[in-house]
Amino acid sequence: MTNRLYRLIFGSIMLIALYFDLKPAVYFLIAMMLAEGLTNWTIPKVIKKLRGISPHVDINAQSSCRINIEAERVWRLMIGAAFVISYIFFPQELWVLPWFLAFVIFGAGASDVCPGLLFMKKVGFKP
Amino acid sequence: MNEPVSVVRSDLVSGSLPTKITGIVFWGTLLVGLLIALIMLYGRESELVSLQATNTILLEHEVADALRNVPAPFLTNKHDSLVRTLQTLQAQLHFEAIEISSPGDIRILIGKKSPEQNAVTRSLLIPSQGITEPTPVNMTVYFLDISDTISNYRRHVLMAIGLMVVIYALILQNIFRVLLSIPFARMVSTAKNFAEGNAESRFDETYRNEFGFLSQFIKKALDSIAAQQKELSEALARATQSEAALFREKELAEVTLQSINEAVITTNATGEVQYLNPVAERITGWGNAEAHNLPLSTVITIVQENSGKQVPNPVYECLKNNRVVNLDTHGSLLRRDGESVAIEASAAPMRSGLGAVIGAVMVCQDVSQARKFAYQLSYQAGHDSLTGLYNRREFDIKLCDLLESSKLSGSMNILLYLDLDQFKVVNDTCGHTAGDKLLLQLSVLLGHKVRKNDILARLGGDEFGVLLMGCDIEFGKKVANGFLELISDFRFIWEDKIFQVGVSIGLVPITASTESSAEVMSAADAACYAAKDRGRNRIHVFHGDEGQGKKYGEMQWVPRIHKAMAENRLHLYRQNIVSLESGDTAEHAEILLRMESEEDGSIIIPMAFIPAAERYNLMPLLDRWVISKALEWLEAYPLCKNGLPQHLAINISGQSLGDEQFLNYIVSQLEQTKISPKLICLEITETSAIANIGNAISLIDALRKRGCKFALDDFGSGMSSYSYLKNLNVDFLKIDGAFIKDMANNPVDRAMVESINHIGHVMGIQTIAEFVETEAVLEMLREIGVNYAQGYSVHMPEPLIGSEK
Repeated sequence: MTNRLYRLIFGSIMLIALYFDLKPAVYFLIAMMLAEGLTNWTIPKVIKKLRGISPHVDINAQSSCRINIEAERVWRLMIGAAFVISYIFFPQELWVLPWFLAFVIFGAGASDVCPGLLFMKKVGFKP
Repeated sequence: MNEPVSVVRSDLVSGSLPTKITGIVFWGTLLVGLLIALIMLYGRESELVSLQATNTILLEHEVADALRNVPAPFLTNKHDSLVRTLQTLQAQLHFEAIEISSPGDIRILIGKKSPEQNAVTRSLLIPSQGITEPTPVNMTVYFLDISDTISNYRRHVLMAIGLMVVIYALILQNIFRVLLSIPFARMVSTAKNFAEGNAESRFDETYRNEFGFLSQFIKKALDSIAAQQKELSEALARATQSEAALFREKELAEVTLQSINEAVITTNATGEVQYLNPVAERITGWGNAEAHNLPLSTVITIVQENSGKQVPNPVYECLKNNRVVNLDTHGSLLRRDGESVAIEASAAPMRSGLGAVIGAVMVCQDVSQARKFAYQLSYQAGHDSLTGLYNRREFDIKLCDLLESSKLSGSMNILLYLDLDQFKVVNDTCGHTAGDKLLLQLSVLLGHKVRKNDILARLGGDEFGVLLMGCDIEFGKKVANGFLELISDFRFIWEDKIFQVGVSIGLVPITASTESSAEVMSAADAACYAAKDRGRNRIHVFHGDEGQGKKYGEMQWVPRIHKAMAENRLHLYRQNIVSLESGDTAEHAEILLRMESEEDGSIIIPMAFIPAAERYNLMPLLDRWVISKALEWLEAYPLCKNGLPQHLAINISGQSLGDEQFLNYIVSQLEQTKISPKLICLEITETSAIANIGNAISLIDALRKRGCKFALDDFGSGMSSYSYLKNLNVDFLKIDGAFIKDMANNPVDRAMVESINHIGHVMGIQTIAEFVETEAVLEMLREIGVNYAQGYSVHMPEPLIGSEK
């Protein structure tokens, strides 16, 4: 599984959960994303590992980064945090943010362009 | 060089135009869509809140109207109509429930209320029929909770608009991807391939849009670049080849310059040294690096070889006049250490392609050896190798110069022609080494007797010439007498022998009227001849009356001898040799040679031309001629008697003795004519036999074996010892006439004759006396016991019969 497919599936499920107001599902997705970010055991990585595919490592790109943390990991933590803040703590005030994030994640999967992730890499996190 | 380019291309690709397009199109569309959705939701939510308020007010009025028409108490009477009215309003105004209460806690509830519902309470004052004061009524309307409505509305709207926007954005992104990103990515890929060296990579021209046009344009540009690159590559290859060829040529030129044996110096247009090859470094003493950019005059100084005066360097004239300039004078190059080197030099301009002079190349050759050889050759051409004096050639040149000088100045000069007497004796008895030594010593002595500006030369074997500058005949005589005294006093010592030589000197004045050098030399020769003719060892001043016959010097005899042989003007004479014992007068005769004069037919005695023949090596020729003719005569007159000789004595010169072929000639002549060798007696002089003792012994032994007899001629004249007689196996001794002529009056001569005769007899050799001119001498010879006599008193020479004129 690629990160693109992951984002596409995650965004789709999150949109469905929000639409049908399936709060447990939303909580689960948020918890899963935070867990991925905290443990760095992302689902695509785990699946690749299970399938015996060695992860592609761009040594040149990694060596040129300034912060020794993977961008995907930071991205998951930040998205998870945004979901927690908007959906759990301030649902009335920030009701639009979960929807926005869900669309963003779905769009990133569909277009294979994730502005947040690009920004992370630009800042200096590892690709 | 390629690496930075590839990095740039890689950055360009990673810059990712599709990503940017996607970012702008997709995310822009999504954000705009969400923004529109938010705006729509905000408006709709406001509209819902406003509608609820409006409905409440409207309901308030409707309820108030309905209650007015109801008599009081409202809620107790006729409330059925009120209920129907409220139910109608519920359907129209979309509320969930309405509760109306009045004083007395009378309530009417229409619909079903719940805590989640949003309740709006209004207080109404309703006028009642029959009652003056209005009745207060509270109306509470229950609407559905608007937040749920809004929430539902938000979900629907966001999902619908979001999905639409996402789909739209994806479609738009895909369109842009197809229209822009993919062609652009292909172009980038093609460019990347091209940059990586695949020159055949070309853009896709199938697009019917700007990319197609751009691809065609870039393809043409690339084709043009490729063609230019190909041309450049070919040009570069040619340039490389040319460069390599030029490098080879340069190396070859440098190696050539390094290898050639001539000094090569190049300068720039201002005459500053640019290059010296190794030979130039050696000749000048300057190193190439040291001399670089120095003025040529600092490095090379050329002077005249003789005067040492500095001469201009040809390079400067060459640079000035743009032409090749040779160093005309005999120049020498002054080395850095001051030593001079004889050189020949030339300078040639170096021109640019436009013909402008850009420098000069000077080529110098070290000609020290050549000039030394030339000097030696010149010296040898003008000097005698033995004595170091001027030779005849140089003497002639000096004479010509003197003649011209005399004609111009009118001055008188003197030519002395010296011919040594008795030199031949030294040469013949002691060999040429002794003769050369004698000439060398005499030349040194003569050199001391002339002035510095006088010319002393060796003209021939024993001939010297002296040019006395600016003097008269008296001074010439004085100098000549000095020569006479010098040579008379001189004694030449060679081993155990002492020789005294004399000199005959011809003196010729040279004046302005003298025609030519040949005339002067001929006159000098004639004068010298006259001096010899007058008894030798004297001076003769040329007066022009030396006589026709005597004006010829020895030189002139050479062609005359040849001509006489060719014209058959040589004749054989005989002089009988008489036996003093038997008195036989015709048995034995000596063959004599005479020449018939070309001018008047007179007979010329051999003493006139034999010396010349000896000097110019004509004797072998004459000897052969005499032998040939004598044998022919003997063949024609065999066994002659009755006044004719039976034996012929033939003289052989010293030169013939030295001729190794001469023996073969005699043998062949004897075999050819069938003449018995016993009839032939060959006479060789004592001096020539001693000078060629080896050849003489061989000849004598060889011919004696065949039967020939031999006589040793002029015995006693050569001061030789008798020991030679032991080696020379001869039959006769011919006593020198010098002893015979005066023996009647000179007891010494008689004693000599007796001694020679005695020795001869002791050795078993018969003796012959020459120059017997008187009866007294003849009688005396008989007394002594000499075997034969020869001379005018015995027999006057006469032509051979058949050979005479």
